[in-house]
Amino acid sequence: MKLRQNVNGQPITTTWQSSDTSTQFLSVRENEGTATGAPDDLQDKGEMRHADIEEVENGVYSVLVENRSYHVRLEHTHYGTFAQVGPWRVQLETDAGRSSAGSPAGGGSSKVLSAMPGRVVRVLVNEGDAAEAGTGLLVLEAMKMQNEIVAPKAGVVRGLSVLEGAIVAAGALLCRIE
Amino acid sequence: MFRKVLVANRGEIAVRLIRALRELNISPVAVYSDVDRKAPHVTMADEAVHIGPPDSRESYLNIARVVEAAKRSGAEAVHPGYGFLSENADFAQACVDAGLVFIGPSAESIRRLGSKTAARELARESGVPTVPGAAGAVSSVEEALEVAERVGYPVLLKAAAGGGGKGMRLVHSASEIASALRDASDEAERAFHDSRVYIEKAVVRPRHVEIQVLGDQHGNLIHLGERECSLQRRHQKVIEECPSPLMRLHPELRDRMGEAALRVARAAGYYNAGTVEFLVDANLDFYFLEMNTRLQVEHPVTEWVTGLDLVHQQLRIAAGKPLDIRQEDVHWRGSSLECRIYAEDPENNFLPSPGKITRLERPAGPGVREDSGVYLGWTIPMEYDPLLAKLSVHAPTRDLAIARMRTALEEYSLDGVKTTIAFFRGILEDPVFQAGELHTGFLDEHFARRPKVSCPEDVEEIAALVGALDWARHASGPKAAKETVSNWKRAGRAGELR
Repeated sequence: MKLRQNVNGQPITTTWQSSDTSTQFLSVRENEGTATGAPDDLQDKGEMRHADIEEVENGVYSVLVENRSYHVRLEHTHYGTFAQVGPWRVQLETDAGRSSAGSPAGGGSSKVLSAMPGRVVRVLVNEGDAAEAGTGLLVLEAMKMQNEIVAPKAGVVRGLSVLEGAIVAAGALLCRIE
Repeated sequence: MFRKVLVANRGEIAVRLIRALRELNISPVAVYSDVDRKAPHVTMADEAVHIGPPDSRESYLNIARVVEAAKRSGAEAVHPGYGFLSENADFAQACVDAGLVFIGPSAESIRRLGSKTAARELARESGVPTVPGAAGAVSSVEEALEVAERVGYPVLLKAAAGGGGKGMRLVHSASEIASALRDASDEAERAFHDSRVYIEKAVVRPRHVEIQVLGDQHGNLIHLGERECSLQRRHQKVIEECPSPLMRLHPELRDRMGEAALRVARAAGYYNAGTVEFLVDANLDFYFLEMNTRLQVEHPVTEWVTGLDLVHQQLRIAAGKPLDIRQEDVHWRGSSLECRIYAEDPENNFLPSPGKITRLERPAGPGVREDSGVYLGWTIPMEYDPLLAKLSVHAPTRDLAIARMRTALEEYSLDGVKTTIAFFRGILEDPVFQAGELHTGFLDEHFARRPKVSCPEDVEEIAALVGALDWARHASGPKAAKETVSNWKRAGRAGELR
């Protein structure tokens, strides 16, 4: 099997075959001038390595490669998918998973999303107001800390959907700037 | 000793207090708000009393409800922990009026030390230095020049009504005074509707060092040495340690600061556990800041190094027993560090990150202590302080304590919310931290100088492999994951993977 991923923003293609007892894999870093394409091209670019992979609990893997031990924890969050490998945290993104995620609204509209879960303590603008980039739109509070959400660009406030006192989740759509 | 004690707090400190109560065969009573019904302190206690809605003003800060809960449960005493009502003189008095023992100092001591200006006055009267400056606000440029000349440059102009750095200006020489005074006054007027500004000597790159004191109700007062808490952001401590690296080079400083702390405590008629905070400058001159009239968050580092249990001591003192240790019985062994684990995003300006904990692996091993108020599956409420847990370690030397902390942090994982766990790694590896050259501006400088560390390639490849396997398994089912591509059996050349 083969899967393309962005790993910390760099494309890596991973190909592997698994049987019940072993996994062979090849990782090709495409930004180092190695080819992408069909498996037949890739095989010249690297060596198939043997990895012994056990899922020790849901989402936690133990990987042994030439006796070197890696402890890998996968975490799926609304910020993305992360692999924690020992002290290292690696952000992962698959080609397959990207298509449905939707791109950030292009063209004339910017979505203003909540950077943290919290309670809306103040709404500073009205629907239809003009805002400069950096204009305060509303104030969120969580864990005794207030955080002002500002307009990412100049435009008109549209779709302002939250009221003072409302509780919003991280990543919630607060309004758009058009 | 008491038979039943109410814990007027939540989170990690409530858990820590409940443990201590159990050890002394005292029955713990918890209080909780609506969102804390499933909090660990509630499930651990013998009894738990509901005291109101999530908003702490109507629950954990509501004096009448907390006192009522204590009376109804039949508790004999109340431990306030830290934060919430712990330094509220009215609460201490309300406990006493209701026939309850307040586990802490007298309401009068809390009141005297609660006002910063009164506390500094008390320190000066007892011969303990405070940061030199004008007693009141300055009214003219001439007066400002005169004060600055007297205390010595650099000086700090501060808004009398102020806080949070607003209306504050650092002035290095006489030529800057006039414009700085005008700017500070204007800013103070805008921020606080009060343009008054006062002047004090600027302590440059100070250390924050505090002294733990312990006193009984029979007039015995001792100190348990210092904690260095210079690593702060937004005036919130991040890492604390004992001993302070300063004391290794200057062991006599501990005695001098300890004596000064005891003078302030004695002047305030203080008993129970308290902490006297100082700024220390490069010349080893120290200045009284304030006295905290409660158990501190960072008390575990003192417990590690002195071998004493501060909560046990607090309970004994509150029960009227005399101190069972003398000053000469206090010894400091080895080195201890504490990291505060907050639900905050260190890569995004420390934004709070409440939410549900989806995975939790805790560090363990010799010399490792975790004080925690959370468990796997717990939803961290957005209403309260983001402190989730405190990780502390003890080792024979500071170098080993740093290594032990690094290892413990690597074992520690808490998923589902952002935490400061990974952020500590960079600090512990900073050579300036390792050299013990600390001051209250350390973190800003650390952020500016920390090297960009890149992840090793083999780690990225293993991450990609596991991510791909996991994805294939869950997205396409077991069939797809087992699909084989015959070409790969021929694969061959040496290379890539390190």
